[in-house]
Amino acid sequence: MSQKQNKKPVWIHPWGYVESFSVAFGLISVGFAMEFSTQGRGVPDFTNATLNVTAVVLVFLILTGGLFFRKVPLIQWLSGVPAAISAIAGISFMALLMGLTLQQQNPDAFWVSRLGLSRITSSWPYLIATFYLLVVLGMATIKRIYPWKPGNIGYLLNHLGLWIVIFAATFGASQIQRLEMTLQEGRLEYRALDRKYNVWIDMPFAIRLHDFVLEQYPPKLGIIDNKTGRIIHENGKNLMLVDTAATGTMLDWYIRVLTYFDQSGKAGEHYYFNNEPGAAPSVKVQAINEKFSDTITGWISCGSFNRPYEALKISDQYSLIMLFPEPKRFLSEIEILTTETETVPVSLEVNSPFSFQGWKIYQVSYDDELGRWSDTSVIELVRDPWLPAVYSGIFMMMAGAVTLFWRGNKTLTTS
Amino acid sequence: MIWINYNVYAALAITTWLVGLLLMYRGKSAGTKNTGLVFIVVGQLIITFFLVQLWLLLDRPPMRTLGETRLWYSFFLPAVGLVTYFRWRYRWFLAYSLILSALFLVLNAIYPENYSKTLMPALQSPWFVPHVVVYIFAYALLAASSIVAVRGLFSSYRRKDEVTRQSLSLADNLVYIGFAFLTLGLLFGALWAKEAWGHYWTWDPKETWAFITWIIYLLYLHFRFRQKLTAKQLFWTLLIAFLVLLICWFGVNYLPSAANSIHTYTR
Repeated sequence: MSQKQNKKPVWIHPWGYVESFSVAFGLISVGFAMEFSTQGRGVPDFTNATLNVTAVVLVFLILTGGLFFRKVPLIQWLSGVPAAISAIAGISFMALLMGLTLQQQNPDAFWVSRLGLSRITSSWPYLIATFYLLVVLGMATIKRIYPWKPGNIGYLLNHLGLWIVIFAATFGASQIQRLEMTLQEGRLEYRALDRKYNVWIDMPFAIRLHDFVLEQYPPKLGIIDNKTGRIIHENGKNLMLVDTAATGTMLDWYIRVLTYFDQSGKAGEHYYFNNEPGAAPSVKVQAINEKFSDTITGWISCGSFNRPYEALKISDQYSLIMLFPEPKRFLSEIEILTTETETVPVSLEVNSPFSFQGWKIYQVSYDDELGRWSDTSVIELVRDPWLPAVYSGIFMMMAGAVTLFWRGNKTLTTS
Repeated sequence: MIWINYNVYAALAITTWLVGLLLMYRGKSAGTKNTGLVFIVVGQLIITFFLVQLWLLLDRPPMRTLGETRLWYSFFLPAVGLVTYFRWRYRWFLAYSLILSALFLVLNAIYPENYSKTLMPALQSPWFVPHVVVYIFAYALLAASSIVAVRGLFSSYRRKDEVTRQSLSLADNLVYIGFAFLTLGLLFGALWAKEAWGHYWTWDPKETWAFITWIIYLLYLHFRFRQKLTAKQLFWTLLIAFLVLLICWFGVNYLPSAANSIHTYTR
């Protein structure tokens, strides 16, 4: 109601929601127009120099604007709530587009590729919406830093933290290097592939794979339809983890494990323990169907790269099969060698990367087909010079989140 | 295969809640009402006991699949309801949180899970438990705020200003605390992603929707700060925000954009 009383013509300061949303809408439209007119090639890869200059200019503009020209109506509007809400709405809109369209390399639809909808994060409208948010968020933050009040600490942690995260993530994005290195047991490797540009990079150190280790869970048993060959799933039911003397019920059958080998070979009709390369798990089971008072006993194996699989037919319609065991953990015993003839032994595992000379080294994958006999290990080397900045922003936001509890405990007054 | 009799636990919990609510609403004396409260706490303990047992039997945190996260939701919602009751004495709110929790318990009974013991290496991390627990707790709080929003909408359309004012104030408290947890969950996820996948943010569909959810609640907080919106508009914002949250939690798997998601652990 108060809005109606102070009704003022549009585009006369102070700007409110109408002007703010018009600006956000206009900026994003310009972005899409740029995208369209550049044939949907998106934002080009700027050089580091260009990016650094842009970053400095942006910070300079926000600082001078926010500190020395804060009485100017434009700056007052940029640091106000309507501009903030329009900037948040703008970035939400871009995120919604991203959440609804499949992000992929080569889209089929003309409009999707022409407007950059399948790679939003490298499109002009996304970049412009991010810049608008950075300016608005930056101006608002400065207003609360100077003049300083102790009560603003929560505000500062949340806003400056977020600003730092977005700023560092945006300007740091192109400097991130993600390289893939394929290691063979016993061999020394110093070259890594940059998949983004498809170029090979010589690393300042070499890596030797001593041993690749894969631990697996016991295999699962399942029932397949003989005609279609598909597993009868029923929302993840009808799968049974094998264990010595395990029992379970699948469809109408009561299944009992009689013998279980985690590695085995076959001789005649029977399996026996064997640990040669490719020795697959096997299990002797008894399947009892009480409805038809039917009991079937037999061996099942999932096979391996050099062993055939074996299913057990339990009726005209169904067979009992073994699924390939799922990996429990895998790790590479590696050694990093630098030119100074220093060697660093590392046990590289998923979820625990190793930091070395500014690089983070990750265990990624292995030869799927060979599984636990794989002598290949794929690792990734990642360098992100802006990461410390992003992390400092993240930690500020975490501290800021904690301050929100106080706010939550305080009852707000309502108008 | 592990079979714990889930249905028995769920039925027991729901029964104690029903009895508890009946005593609290129909009881004449303070003693009867307190007995009702005791019943509700017992129901909560039953769920807790089930979760502990499940964790021990699976030998891994039971937080991998959608059904397992629903269980935690059923655990946290009554917890939020009880804490709010002890703090502010909102009986109706306790009742709604119990009903919503019971709904999720029933959902899990209709779609039972084969509690699989396997846990892929990418999920074996010290971040796993805090990330999921903080998130589901945030979801429970924000679900609670949407319950409050529905009540607030009813009262504002009926022009019961005092109830509207109270609802808005309670919704605010829940959103502020819920948003704090949502932020922590998101940031824990980013830190974990760096350790597991080499980058803190890859715009995976689940991440994108988590970001949209976060930013919509952020919008609400800024709407509140400005305090120009009417109570009705604010309540509607909360309902839309919760809808987005549900898309993030369940819906993502069905969106075309999720074809390459790394966040599908349902099988």
